[in-house]
Amino acid sequence: MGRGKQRNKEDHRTASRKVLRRGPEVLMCRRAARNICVPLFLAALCVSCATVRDFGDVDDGVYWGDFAGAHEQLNEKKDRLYAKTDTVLYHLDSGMISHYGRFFDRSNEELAEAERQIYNNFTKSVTQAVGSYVVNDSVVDYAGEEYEDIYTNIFMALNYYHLGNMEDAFVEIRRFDNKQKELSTKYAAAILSARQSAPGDIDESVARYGDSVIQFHNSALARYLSMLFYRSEGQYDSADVDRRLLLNAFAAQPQLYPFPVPSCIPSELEIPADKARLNFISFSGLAPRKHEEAIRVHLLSSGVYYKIALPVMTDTPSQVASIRAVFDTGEVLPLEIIENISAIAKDTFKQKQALVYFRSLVRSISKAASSIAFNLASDSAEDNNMGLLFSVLSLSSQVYTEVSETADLRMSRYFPGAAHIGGINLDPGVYSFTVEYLDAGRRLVASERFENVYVGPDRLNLVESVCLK
Amino acid sequence: MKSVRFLKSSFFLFLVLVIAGCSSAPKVTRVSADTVTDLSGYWNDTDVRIVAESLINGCLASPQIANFTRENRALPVVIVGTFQNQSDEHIDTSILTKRMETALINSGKVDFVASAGERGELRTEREEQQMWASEESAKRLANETGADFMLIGSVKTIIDQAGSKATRTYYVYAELIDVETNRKLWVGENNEIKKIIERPPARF
Repeated sequence: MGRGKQRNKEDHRTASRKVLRRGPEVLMCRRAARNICVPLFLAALCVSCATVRDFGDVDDGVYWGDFAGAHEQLNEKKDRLYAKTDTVLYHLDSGMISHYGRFFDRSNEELAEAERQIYNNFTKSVTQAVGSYVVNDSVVDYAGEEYEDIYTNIFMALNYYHLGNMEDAFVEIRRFDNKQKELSTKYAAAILSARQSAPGDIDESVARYGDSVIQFHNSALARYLSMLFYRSEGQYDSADVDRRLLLNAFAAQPQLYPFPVPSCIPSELEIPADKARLNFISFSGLAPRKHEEAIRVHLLSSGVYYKIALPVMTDTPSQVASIRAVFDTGEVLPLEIIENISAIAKDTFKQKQALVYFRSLVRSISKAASSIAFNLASDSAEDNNMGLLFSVLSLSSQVYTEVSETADLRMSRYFPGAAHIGGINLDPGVYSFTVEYLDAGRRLVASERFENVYVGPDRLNLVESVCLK
Repeated sequence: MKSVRFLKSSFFLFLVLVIAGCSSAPKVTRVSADTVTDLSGYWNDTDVRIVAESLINGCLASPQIANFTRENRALPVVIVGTFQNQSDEHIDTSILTKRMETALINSGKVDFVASAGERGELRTEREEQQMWASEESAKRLANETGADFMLIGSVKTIIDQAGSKATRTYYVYAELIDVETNRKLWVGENNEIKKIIERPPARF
């Protein structure tokens, strides 16, 4: 032991002498370490310094139903709330708030612009793709989630209905239908390519994110609106096709529609000649939000780990448990759920999540590989200082991976979480009623008053109400 | 000295290029109206031109229209009805109907009367003339020319898409229907517009 210690001391002395003799090299190593590590550290710092965006005032306005005020706040703070790569989000948020505030023309302009940009941003920028490979997915232009893209058309259809333009309302329903058909195949090629780039032996804890099979292929809400639109045009055959497709949406997608078909559906196309039909559509709650799930998988032999940070959608809790329309005559019409938009948002996100997962995996493993390479170089360096340099580089690389691997949590904020409907046959005339939103304890959460609504025969009398609490 | 001069002139050239590049005025290039400009893949002026020409030629060549003129010793009087947009994009079908109307009137084989949307203003004018115009110049009420036929039509699309590739096929129908008997005098169809739209794999 004593001899060993003695040898170590000698080795150390020899090394020190070498260092003294090779002074300029040491200086170079230190300079190199500083030149590489400092920018890396700064870059990591910049990446981690995500801008805190305060939507408080806008959220408050939306919560209390002051949509005009919320829109004003949104526009005032636009530059602070949205990065240059997030213009789609601005148009979606502005379009949705405008819709709720009954500014239908403005809503159409904003949502149409969002739709156009989503289409264009599907084509990735090469420069941004390089940035996303080095840093993370937040640096690319936001291209919208699938549910945002498709429900944009539903809300534009409602906008056109409220503006009295049924022909354009139909156009939006058809656009929704086309996008819906494309959903299951949209990312197929990209996922296959990303899957092939990813290593074969993926840790089981993360492999589940690679599941890209989506259930959603038919929207009951879209069919319902289409049925009402066709009925209003007197095209009962086409309306009946939509009614059957609506029933099929419930039958074929029980995971997404685990609730009964609304009881008003069978009578929607059987309106007595002397009666007029009043229909309700009510949006409540908010669509899911994304949060980050970070997984660190240790590569046992190297002491290095790779980190995958994935966006995961979770439901936004809503206070609203039930909705009803209370007529001034005392009659009460319960509204029934037709679409859980949150469930569809999460389901349709699966494909993109799988793509993000495979891309993150490749990126993170590449970053880990550089750390391992520096470690190996450090171990095999004859020179202590070179070893130190590579150790510092390895550490910096791991710090950079840790800080830069963050999930892209961007998404719009104001799509609703659920849609409820109802329908009632009435004598043609003028009615006043209140749409009430109740919590689980049957306490009133919010209400929306409708005064002197004319309910006429042979036309669509559709009342839309919203409570995003 | 030479290199300094070279550097100076290079810098000046660079400055000129930068200033030229920073010009805020939009670049406008005039092109002939029949230039094909496919930018987005959606319905555009070229499609209107192709469809209108094909439908107009079909209508004018229709033997039924010539027969009607011969049998009645008068041109058929047509009113423009609804031209429905049953496609998946926002199309202003009035451009198509106006183009057809113009070509058919100018052909001298068909007469048109004001459509439902146009005649309201004319009727108001006539009614006001009864009150405010001189007796000689005031136009008579209830002396409109009744249409023999109504021109109706529709635009439909079929979309097929997979990944970044999509095909859009347009089906445009136009019909002349006898107002009195509902008999169809002429039906025209155009399905020549088929586009393959490929999204670029990447942009810069």
